[in-house]
Amino acid sequence: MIIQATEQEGYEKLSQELRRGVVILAALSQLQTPQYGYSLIDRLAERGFNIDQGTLYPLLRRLESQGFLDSMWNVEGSRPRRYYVINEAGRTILAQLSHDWQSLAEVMQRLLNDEGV
Amino acid sequence: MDLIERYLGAVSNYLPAKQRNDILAELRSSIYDSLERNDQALDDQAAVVAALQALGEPAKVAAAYGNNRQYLISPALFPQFRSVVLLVFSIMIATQLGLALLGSLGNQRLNIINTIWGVIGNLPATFGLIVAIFWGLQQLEVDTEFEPKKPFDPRKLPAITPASEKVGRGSQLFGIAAQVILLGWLMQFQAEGGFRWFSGQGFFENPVISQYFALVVVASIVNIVVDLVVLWRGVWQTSTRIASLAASGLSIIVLFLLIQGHSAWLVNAGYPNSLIELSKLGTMIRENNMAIGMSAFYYGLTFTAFFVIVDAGYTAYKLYQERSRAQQNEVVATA
Repeated sequence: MIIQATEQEGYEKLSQELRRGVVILAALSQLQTPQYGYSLIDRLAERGFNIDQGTLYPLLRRLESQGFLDSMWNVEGSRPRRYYVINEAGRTILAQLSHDWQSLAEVMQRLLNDEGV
Repeated sequence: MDLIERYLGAVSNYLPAKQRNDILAELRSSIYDSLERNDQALDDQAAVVAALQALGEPAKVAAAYGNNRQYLISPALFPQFRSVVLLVFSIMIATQLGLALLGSLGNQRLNIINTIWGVIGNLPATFGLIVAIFWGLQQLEVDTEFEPKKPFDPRKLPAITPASEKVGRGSQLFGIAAQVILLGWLMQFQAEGGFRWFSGQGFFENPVISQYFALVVVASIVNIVVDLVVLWRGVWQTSTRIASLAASGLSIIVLFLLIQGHSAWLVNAGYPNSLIELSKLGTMIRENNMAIGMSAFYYGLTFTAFFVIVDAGYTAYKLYQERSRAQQNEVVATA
């Protein structure tokens, strides 16, 4: 039982590491229109990509401070919300990362097929 | 509602002041969104607990907003830090035990527990002092996270240097340890208005140290920082030699002022500078005779000044050699 639990924990950690790299790509891809934190989580979940709030909110701020997103507070709704939207620099980086992702996916597919996984 | 504010309060404890309010406002708004999305009321405690658990532990959430530099001493500096701590602690323990044994020779009374307690009691403050010095040094060296880093160029690695040009790790560490201990003593002097020894027995107030206190502390800190930078670089270069020479120059000025001050005090008090007083050192220290203390300081400082001058002379000579060699190379290259 203990071994099974350890294996499950190990899998979860590795799976988390695997997904960590593509979280940025997933977030940037869904910010063509302004989104606030929770709406982006919803939007990603609807498309099959689940992400923790504790991971996404700091990531949005980091992308903004790196100049790939713009943000503004909107006070018109039921409560003030901070909206994020991709900007020109973000679009450029998204295009580059998307290209990298396609190449990587193809390579990985070949590697896994060769090994019959 | 109360639970949400308590959660935000806990997160705010770990956030940098500059961004605190903005991050908290965004988190608050997101928590309300999460509850609203699931049709849960703010007074439904189980729902609020679940929403906050989904967000994560306050410290971890706040850390995710940080810049990943949540340490006092960087991994790059840690080996030097560890060496300095070990050396300083060893010297302190050995010196204090030695002094305690010396003090007990006359009166045959040595309280082991008090002695050990006296030694251990000084270690935390010394440790804090070393941490503060390394932290200060690290602040001088850190670069900003988003500053583009230049690619590593192996051609810019320093040339292989002969063993004589490599910094002697042992002597450098010994110098740092001695300066840290001096700083520790100065802090004690500042706190108590004088020096104590033998498990708190005996008290000696030195008016000359009081007069030049700030200057001695500054010179000591400058020397520690320069020694650490030299130790960190690991190789003697023109820049490290110049820095070392400048620090020695400052030490010589301060030592000269202190020696002059002690000499003047001894002359005024009617004690000529002679070794006779030193022969009665043990007895007179126990009697708290100020003249012997001042005399011991006078000779100690003179002895130190002699070594600092010799060391500075050697550094100046090596610097001169280096410059001459560089000029010769330039002449050859031009020809």
